[in-house]
Amino acid sequence: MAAGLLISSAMVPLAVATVQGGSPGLTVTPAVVDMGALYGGANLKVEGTVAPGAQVLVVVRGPEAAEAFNKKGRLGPIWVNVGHVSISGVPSLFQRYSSGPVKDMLTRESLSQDQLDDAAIKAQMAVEPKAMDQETIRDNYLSLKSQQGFYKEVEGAVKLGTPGPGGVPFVLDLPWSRKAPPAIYDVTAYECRDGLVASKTTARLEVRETGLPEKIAALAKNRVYLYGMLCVLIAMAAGFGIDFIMARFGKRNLAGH
Amino acid sequence: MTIFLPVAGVSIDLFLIVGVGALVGFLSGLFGVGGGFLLTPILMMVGIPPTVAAASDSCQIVGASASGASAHFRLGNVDLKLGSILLVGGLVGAAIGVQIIKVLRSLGNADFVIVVTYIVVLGSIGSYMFVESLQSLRRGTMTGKHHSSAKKGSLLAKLPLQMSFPRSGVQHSVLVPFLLCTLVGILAAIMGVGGGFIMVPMMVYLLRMPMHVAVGTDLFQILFTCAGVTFMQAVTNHTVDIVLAILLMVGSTIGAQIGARAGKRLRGDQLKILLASIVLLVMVKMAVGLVLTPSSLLSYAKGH
Repeated sequence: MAAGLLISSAMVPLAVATVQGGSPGLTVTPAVVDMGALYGGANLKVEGTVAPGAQVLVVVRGPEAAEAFNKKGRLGPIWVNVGHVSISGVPSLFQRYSSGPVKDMLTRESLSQDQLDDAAIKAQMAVEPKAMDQETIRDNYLSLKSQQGFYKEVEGAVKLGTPGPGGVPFVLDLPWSRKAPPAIYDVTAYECRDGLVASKTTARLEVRETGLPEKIAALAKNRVYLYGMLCVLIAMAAGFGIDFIMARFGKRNLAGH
Repeated sequence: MTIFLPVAGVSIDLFLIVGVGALVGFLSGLFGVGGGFLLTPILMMVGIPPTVAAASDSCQIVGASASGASAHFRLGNVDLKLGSILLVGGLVGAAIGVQIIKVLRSLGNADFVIVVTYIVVLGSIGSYMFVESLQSLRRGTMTGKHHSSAKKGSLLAKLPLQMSFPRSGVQHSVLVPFLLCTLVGILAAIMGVGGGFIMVPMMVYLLRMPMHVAVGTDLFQILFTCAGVTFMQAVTNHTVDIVLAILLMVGSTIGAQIGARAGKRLRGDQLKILLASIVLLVMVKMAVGLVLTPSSLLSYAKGH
């Protein structure tokens, strides 16, 4: 029986996803992260219930988009860029949190089927040009994303609670990286049983620019000549202004001596 | 305290950015270098996308050089006449350099040429400045004075379009600063930097300008060059983050003022040996980086 996954929200409108097996839905608290002028990341909470005996995986995925890279290679004793690579077909962000060791929760086939680990992501990754060393590039892509904190796997982060009439509650405290760009992310909870995914529920997490940052980004994108001139004028005004202030301040100091 | 950068799309510690700006601004005021060869790599290290780092760096250099040039102008260290010729030469050189890069990129070996150019140019200038300044310091002589007298009998003095530059205390054919600055502009375009760290040594050693006037005049021409680059980056690539640039400016404009004052307290030789040391350190870092195996064979391409 597929147990229901319930994730509640107190502050923002619920993000509800369709769930098979009569599951009531899935939400993230908060479901919308506003990137204002003083944004510094967010603390998210994912909550729900599963049937007794089940384990839980929570996966956050960023949107898929082709990314362009330079590839380094050896030219004699030195490393230089030797070509360009385009990578697509993989999430821009992949963070997996589990209630226990994943190798004990899911079979290799299940991991591959739902693309739940690095090996599955590597398998779906499209690398151009195909003449490049595919395996090396795939490994280096994962390594680069891990270094940036966009790809990570944390075991034991999902906490299972005391079984109740509605099932076993679980909770994940999810520190949302301030480096993650604005986008719509999928948060999926997987109920795992007997090495298989018994059910899964997906909610939407929206990370968006608001306030002054949103206005500046729109100006930079839509009114480029005005924005360019403003940048130059603001920079010049700031430079001359600071010099004017410093000159006056310096004179007062000299007078004081 | 964190702040969100709207064009870069990342959130970052405010004081870290201001501190980085102050450090680079200090060097800008002290040596007349724009600081691009230091600031862009530092910004990339703290998580700013490369294209946004480079473009916003240009924008902040406008502020820092405006502040530094203004301070130097009051101190009588800006040769407007010579600076104007240098500016024109630099812009012509930059245009040629951009075309050279286009050709090299189409041939597929641009990156190698850029890195080797960096190492050769930085190594040559840094080594020459370091040795010359060290010898001069040991002799205990003041430089800047003996440079001011151009060699009348030299071949350069026989070139046409001779012009006097009283502020710098030199006389040259207009062709000399123009062609030198064109060459520097080409190198700066290939290396993707403002070129101050090449320009100042050129002014001192080849144009025989006093160090302080070279610094002030260089800041004057950097101001206009980087203003043009900032505008073009904003229009064509949309990569100028004004919030990032303002934060860097807050630090760098103050740093530039302190640097300009610190420079006034130092002798020309002392300034030169400090600049030579920084240039050599950057060169060594680049050379080591070329040989060591990178942590990842992939790096984000420009435009992403």
